[in-house]
Amino acid sequence: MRKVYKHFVNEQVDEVVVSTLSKQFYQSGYDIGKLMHSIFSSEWFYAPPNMGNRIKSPIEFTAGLMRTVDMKFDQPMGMLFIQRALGQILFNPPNVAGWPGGKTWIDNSTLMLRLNLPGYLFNATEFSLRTKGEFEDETREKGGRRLSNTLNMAPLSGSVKGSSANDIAAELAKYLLSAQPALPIESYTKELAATDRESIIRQMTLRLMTLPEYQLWLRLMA
Amino acid sequence: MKQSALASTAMMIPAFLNDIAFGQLMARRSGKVLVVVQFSGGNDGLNTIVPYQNDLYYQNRPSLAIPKTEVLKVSSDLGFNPALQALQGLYDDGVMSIVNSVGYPNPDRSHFRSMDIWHTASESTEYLNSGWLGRYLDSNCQGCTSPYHAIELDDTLSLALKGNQRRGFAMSDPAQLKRTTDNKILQAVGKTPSSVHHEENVAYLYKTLVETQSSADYLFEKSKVYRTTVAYPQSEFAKDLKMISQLITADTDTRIYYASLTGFDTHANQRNRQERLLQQYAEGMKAFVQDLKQNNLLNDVLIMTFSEFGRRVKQNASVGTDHGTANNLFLMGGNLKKAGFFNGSPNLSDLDDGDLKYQVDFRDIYTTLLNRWLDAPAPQILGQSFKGIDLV
Repeated sequence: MRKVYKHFVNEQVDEVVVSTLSKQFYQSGYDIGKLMHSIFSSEWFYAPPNMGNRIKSPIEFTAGLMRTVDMKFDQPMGMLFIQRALGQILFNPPNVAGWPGGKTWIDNSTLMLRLNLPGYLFNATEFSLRTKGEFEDETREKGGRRLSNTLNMAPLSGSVKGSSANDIAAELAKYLLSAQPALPIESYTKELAATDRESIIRQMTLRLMTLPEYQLWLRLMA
Repeated sequence: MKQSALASTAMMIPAFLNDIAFGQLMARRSGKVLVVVQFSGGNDGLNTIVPYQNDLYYQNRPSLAIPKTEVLKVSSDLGFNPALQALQGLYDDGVMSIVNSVGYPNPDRSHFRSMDIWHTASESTEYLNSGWLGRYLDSNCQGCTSPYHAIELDDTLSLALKGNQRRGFAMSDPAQLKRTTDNKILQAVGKTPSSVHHEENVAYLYKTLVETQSSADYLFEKSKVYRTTVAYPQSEFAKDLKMISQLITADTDTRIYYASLTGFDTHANQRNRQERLLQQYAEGMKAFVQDLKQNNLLNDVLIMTFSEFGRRVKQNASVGTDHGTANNLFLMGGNLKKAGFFNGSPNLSDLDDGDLKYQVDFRDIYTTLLNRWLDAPAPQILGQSFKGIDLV
C-alpha cells in the first residue's frame, strides 16, 4: 500500500491514510479497482501538497516533451541514447522490482542532462556525453553528438491566446509546469531574441522546459 | 558569454594558486583517498596473472595460453601478462598487492547482474537499489556540504555510488562539466533564493542544480592548481587517472574516485584485445603511481582494481574465453600490509563446472577498505558482518 501511495499520491507517505486504505483494501477482498477509485475520489488526493510533486521518469519526461512540440527524431536511436543516459531503458528494468523512481532518477549528471535536453533538441545543438559503453565495446562512446529532429509548434501555438511575451509566458507556464515557477514571470521573458509571436512561443516553451519545475508532473486541475 | 567566463576564470587563477600553493597544498592531507578502477566486461584473470607452471592452464588453453617464455615471472608459479610490463616496477617496489580467487557464493554469469552484485555488495539472490560507496556516503557523509565527496570520472553515475540518501558525483572532466552548467536560463534560476521552494521535490531539484553549478566551478579551479610533470600515455583511461591525480594533489575535498576501463568481454580473438587494454591499464597506473609518489601522496591513496567476473578456465572455439567466476583483484598504494601475492594461486584442478571457485569474498575486501581505510562502519554499510582480510 505504501508503494501504491508513493506512486500515485506522494513520495512522502501519510501513514494514517495508508493504514485506512490498507484496511479498506483488505475488507474489499483486495479489489484493486475499488482501491484506485477511493484514492482518486478522495479529498486528500487533490490537496495541494499531493499535486504536481512527482518527478517524471525519463520516459515520461521525454515523451511529454516530444508530444508537446510534436517532435520526431531523424534517427530513432536518439531515443535510445536518451533512455540510456537518463537511466531508464524501456522494457529493461534493472530487476523484478522495477525502477525505484522518485528522487533516484536524479543525480548531478541526469539532472543537468534533463535540464539541458530541451535546448539540445530544440536547437539540435552538438553536445558531448558518453554513456556507459556496452561490455564488448572497447571504447566508451565519446565526442559530440547531435539529436537532430523535426518539431512542429503549430498545435501548441494554436492554443496560446496572449500576445505579449509576458502573457504568452504565463499561459505556457500554466500549461507546462507543475508549480508556479520560482521567479515572477517577467524574469523569464528577458532578452528574448525574437519579436514575432511564433518565435516568442517557441523560445518561451524552451525556456520553461529548461526549468527544474518542468521535471515534475503537472498538477491536476481539480 | 563563454569569453567572459574564461576571462573571469583567468583572473582568478593567480590569487587562487597562491592560496593553494602556500596554504592547503602544503597542509596535511584531509584524509585517505580510495580510487576504484573497474574493468568492465569481465577481465580474463588467468591470462592477466598467469599460472605459468601449471600444466592444466596450458592444457585448457592450447592456443590462448601465454607461452611460458613470454610470461613476466614474478613468483615461483605466477607471472604477469607481457602487456603488464609497466606494472612489474610497481610489484617490485612493494606498492602492489594481488588477491587471487576473489568472488562470491552462487556466482552469476551475466555482466549486468554480476556487476550489480559487485556494486551493491548484495548476495547473488538479493536485489538492492543502492551501491556500497553510496551507502558509505549515507553513513559517513551526512554532514557533507559538498556533493563531490565521491567522484566518478564519467558522464553518468554508476550504481556503486548511489546511496539511499546521498549520491556520488559524475563528471568526465571539469571543463565538460562546466559546459553543462553554461546554460543562461539555468544560471539565472540557480540564483533563486532557496526559501522560495516550498515543495520538497522542487527544493531537491533546485538544490541539486545549485550544488552542481558550484561544484563545476570548484572542480574546474581545482583541476588547474597542479600541473603534473609525469608523462601520462594518451589513452582516455590515462586521462582520467591524470585528472584524479590533479584533483588529489590539489587537495580536493573528495575521498573516493571511480574510473573504468571497458572492453574486456573477449569471447573471440582474445589476446590482442585484452593485451591492448592491459597495456593501457599498466602504463596508466605506472604514471599515476609515480605522480602520487612524487607528491608524497602514495601513502594516502589506495587503488583497488576489480572486474565483475573472471572467465572460464577453458578457452572457447573462437580463441577467446566465456564468462566465468572468481578473479584476481589488485590493490596499489604505499600502505599495503602484504605486498606481492596476498594468497596462493587459483586452484585449476578443483573447479565448479569449469569455473574457478572463489576463496575470498569481495565483501571481505570491502569490509577492510571501509573499516580501516575509510573509517566507516562496514557491517552497517554492507548489511552484514564480514571478517575482512589483512590488506591495509
